[in-house]
Amino acid sequence: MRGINHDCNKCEEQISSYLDGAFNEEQERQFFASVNNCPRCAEKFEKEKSFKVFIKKKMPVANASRDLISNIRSRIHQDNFRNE
Amino acid sequence: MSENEQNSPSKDENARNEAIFNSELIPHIDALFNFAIHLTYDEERANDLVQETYMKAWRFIGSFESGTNGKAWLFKILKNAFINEYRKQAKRPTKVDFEDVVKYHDAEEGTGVGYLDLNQDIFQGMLGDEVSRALDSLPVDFRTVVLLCDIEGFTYEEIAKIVDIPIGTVRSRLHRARGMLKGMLEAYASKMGYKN
Ligand SMILES: [Zn+2]
Repeated sequence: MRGINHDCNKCEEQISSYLDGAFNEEQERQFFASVNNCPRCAEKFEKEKSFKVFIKKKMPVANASRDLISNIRSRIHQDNFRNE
Repeated sequence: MSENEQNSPSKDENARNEAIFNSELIPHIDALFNFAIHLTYDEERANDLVQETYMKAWRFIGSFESGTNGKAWLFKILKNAFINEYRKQAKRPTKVDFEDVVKYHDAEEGTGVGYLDLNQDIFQGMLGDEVSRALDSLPVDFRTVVLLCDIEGFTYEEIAKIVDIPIGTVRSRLHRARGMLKGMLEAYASKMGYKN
């Protein structure tokens, strides 16, 4: 059952906005009122949400080496001494 | 007020800047390195790029306001440094068999794309390396927005500033990038025998 003002294309755009944290509280409230009114968009919402979670969860994260960190810090420190 | 002050920062100021540098900028180094790895595909280049980013940030530390968005500032510096010096040299990843799939799925909104059931075992069992490889085979402009949005959690506005594009372009690039990624995951799954 779709709400009178429901527009699937617009709703799809809003799904991304919501998931990417672009909405304020009022916009969120309106978004949920809209998405919960349309089974197609509600399903799309669940899929998009799990995709976003999937990417974040699965992607390995590379860390900077200790050497890199200490290199940078000591270059800055030396630069500071030179200026004295 | 001494004459000195106009020319070079005072000793106190230097110490304060170094403290700000260490407490507000250095903590983002892992995120920057990770971003650099996905841009350059090369550990040594990523190291150079991150180092260059921090040296540049240090040079302009006087214009950085403590307590403001240091992370976004650093990402912007890194992005620009990459464009200026690294882009031309960046190697392609060696083991990409996703590549042809990008072009194929760039046609977008294909059948079923966007409706992957990621709860299926095939996706849950997928290795991080495979997801990472899929991302790395996206054209640089597209993997950049995915990294900034989905991995680093920057807002559309922050991404627009970092990449220097309008917010509308951020949104459309994200949309396309995610479409390509889904296409690749789908292709990967069907190669492994999964039927959607
Ligand atoms: Zn709808």
